[in-house]
Amino acid sequence: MAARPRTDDSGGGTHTLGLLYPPAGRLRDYTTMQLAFVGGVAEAAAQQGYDLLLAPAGTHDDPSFPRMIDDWRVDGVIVMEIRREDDRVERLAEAGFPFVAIGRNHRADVSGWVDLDFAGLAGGCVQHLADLGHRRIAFVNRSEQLFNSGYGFARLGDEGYTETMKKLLLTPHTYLCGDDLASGEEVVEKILSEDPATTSLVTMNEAALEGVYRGLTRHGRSVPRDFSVVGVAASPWAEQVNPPLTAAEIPAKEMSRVAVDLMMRRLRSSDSPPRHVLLKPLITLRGSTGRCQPVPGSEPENDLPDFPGLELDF
Amino acid sequence: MRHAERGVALDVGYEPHAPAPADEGFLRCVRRVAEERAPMRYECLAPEPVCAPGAAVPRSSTHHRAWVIELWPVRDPATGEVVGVGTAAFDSSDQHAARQRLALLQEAGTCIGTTLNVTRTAQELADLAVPRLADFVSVDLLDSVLRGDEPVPGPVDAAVVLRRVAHQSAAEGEGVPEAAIDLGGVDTYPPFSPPARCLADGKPVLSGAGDPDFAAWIAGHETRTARVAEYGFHSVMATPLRARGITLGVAVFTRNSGSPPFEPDDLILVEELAGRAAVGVDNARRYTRERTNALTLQRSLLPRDLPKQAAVEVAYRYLPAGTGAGVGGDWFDVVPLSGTRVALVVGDVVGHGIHASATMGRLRTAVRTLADVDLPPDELLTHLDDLVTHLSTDEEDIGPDEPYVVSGEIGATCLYAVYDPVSRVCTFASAGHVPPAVLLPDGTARVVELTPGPLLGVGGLPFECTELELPEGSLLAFCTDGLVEARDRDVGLGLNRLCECLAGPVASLETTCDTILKALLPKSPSDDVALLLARTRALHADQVAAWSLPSDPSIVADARAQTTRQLTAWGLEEAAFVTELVVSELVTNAIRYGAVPIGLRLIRDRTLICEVSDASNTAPHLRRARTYDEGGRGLHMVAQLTQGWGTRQSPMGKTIWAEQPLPDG
Repeated sequence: MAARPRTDDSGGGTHTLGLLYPPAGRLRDYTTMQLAFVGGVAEAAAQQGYDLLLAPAGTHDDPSFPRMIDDWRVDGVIVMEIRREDDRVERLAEAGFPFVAIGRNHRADVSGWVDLDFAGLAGGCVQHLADLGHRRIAFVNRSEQLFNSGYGFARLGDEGYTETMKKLLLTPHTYLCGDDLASGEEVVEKILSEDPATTSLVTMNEAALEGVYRGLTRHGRSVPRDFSVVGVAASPWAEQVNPPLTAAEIPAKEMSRVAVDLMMRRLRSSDSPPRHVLLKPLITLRGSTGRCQPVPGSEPENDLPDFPGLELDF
Repeated sequence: MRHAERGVALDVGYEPHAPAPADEGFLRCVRRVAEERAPMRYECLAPEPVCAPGAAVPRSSTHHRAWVIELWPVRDPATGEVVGVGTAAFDSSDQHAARQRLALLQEAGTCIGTTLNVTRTAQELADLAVPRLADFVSVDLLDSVLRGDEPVPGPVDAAVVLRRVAHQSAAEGEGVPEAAIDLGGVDTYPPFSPPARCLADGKPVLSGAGDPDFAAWIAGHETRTARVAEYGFHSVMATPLRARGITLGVAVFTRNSGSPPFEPDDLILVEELAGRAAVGVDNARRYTRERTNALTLQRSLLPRDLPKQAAVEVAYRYLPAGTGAGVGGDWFDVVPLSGTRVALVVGDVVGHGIHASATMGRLRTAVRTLADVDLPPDELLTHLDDLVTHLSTDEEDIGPDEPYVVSGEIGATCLYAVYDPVSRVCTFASAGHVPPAVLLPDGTARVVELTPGPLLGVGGLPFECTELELPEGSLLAFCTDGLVEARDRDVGLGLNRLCECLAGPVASLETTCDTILKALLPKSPSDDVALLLARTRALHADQVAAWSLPSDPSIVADARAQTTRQLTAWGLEEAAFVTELVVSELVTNAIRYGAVPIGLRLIRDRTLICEVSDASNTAPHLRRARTYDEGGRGLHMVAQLTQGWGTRQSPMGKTIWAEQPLPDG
């Protein structure tokens, strides 16, 4: 059994950090975003003089998790993609093992975490569309299963959207959508059948984006001329679609760096209060949003003057 | 019938050998006198008499004797029948020579100075004098004369440096083997040499083999020594070229071993000849000066080095019209605008001469000024139109006796285009100008379809903008009608030819310029020509970042954080502090005074540009904040921190921009 690291001095431990991330998904491939986090954490750790031990562990049952924790093979652990109820966090918190979470849940509060302000971002998306004159704004969330059991950001995004819509005295319409192309088409179908005058949507679901675009094209809605789409948080992949998605970019590098910084702070003085960092990147303007053009045949919107033919000037 | 076979010389200068008895014409004349029984006069040239028997017959034709022979019938006093022909021959060489000189001078009046070209005029002098007066003639001029400058009045003393502009010799063939100096070459004449002496005295100088100065001069120059030895130059006359009291250069007349030496009488002739040539040269010089002045004026009005900018790569040509029409009023310009955009301008003031050039200069300055205000193309042309109208009215006030002003009307055309490398959109507006042509990267070339628009100065009619999205690497060609329009070709045909040239093999812009000029330019262009080529560049996602901002003061902190994040990604951390301050000032202003949507944009190009736009059209202004004012300092701070800031209006609102230099390294 390795000696327990001295938590008051970072120089005495293994000089290794652990990184826990869920095993590859359905397609047996890691996403660009996941890889960006892994690379970012490794780079930031190296700058602090630490090596990184990688462990694909989605739950505490994954064999690499106990190996890393029980044997104290690392000084501290950074946990990626935590769910609302995450037994990895549970175990780490119980064991008093130094950890920092990328993402957050109620248990993670005992330690440091860094996360995106999903509620604020979703609200910002609504605000952006409202600034462009849109009044009928739909919200496309992740899958039902993920929303109910899984990651907190799906709920946070939903809350942020609904709250901002209500503040603007608009009616929220939220939709759950599977992480695939077909679901994207279906959700557009549903949105436009429930309110054909919808002129814009906010999406949390990057995987279904191509489907959403396809569905809009089938309904004769051209993005961004007749319909605006804005993403809550998107990977650099959002630049590759046509038109490029206007969305807040997930600052993977900065989040990784902050996570490592929080870990260093924790290792240097274990009794310091846990710090929580909430990042709120701005919405990067690309090509998928424009001024609201009322849908022909829908009732006129008299509450605000509209500016036909005007486009956002940048 | 008996014929007198031999004449009797009654002249004082008795010459037993002249004229030669074998002269066919003389014998025919004798027969006619005998047959017609009437006196006649016969004139002929005969070679210089041979003084000693067996001496060589002279080779050169330049020294013959002129004879006047009187013939009369001799009658038998008894019968009255013609029994013989009496002849009397007079040596009239002097009168003949005088007449020849007169003829030469008369010819000089018509042959020298046929053009307004200095070199050509000098050559005409040399051509006329050979071989009738000399075997070799050279004309050298002061350098200043060739440039069209005013030489110092009065004689030139001491050693003179002159440039050879013309020479001619009696030698057969094209070249002038006798010349010691090549055309265009420079020679220094020592003060004692005949050419330098004649310049010092202002009078022609006769010199030759017997003169020690001549010998010293020849000996001082190796090639000259060789030439003199080879051709046997023995007699030389140097005469200054003087007109209107100023000395322009020197003409040197030389005779070789085949001809007799010059005589003092010849000095008067060359002085007269040189005088006529000098006036021609001086006229040509004055014309050269006027034309150079006009061209200099025009060049100084046209851009010399176009400003550096990243939006387009440019190449340009300006060609003045041929000698006849003088300078013109074509111009072009490239003006960098805010946000890495660039304005491309080409225009044409109708007419030629200084007046057109001056008007062009005014319009070009006006366009630059208006472009700096960042007006959209259609608005800019409207302002320019107003200006031209005002200029026209101003000029109507000028008295009718004012030279150069034909009428108060100014006709001008202009094409103004703004290219934005971020959106890759080029916006054109035309005031009656030739439309541009565009070559797309796929190799297709076409004329950009524009609303032609009214000419400048017409007033009241609207100008229209045409937008064109251009793929990166498109080539825009702007020109004036001098290039595409010709006597035998209409504009459409010329533009088609221009498109064909553009679509040709891909070459550098400079080469393409030359290709276009070669293919389209008429042999002697009657109008001046301006050509501007611009290949578009594009700014990519790694150079531009744009974000949307809600109108909420709490966003300012996020905007600052995002700015730092972006600058870190660009490796410009050093600029982060200043940029954050600028961003928070501009964003705060936009939130406080502007209207949604608010946008923030960072551009990394030659400089770091920070832009905040909003939907309101009220422009900000610098205020002087009072001591206890909380606000009113933001723009002052932005102005202090950046190398420039400004604002531009658009149909959708306004944009405030601030530019700072990139950190070193």
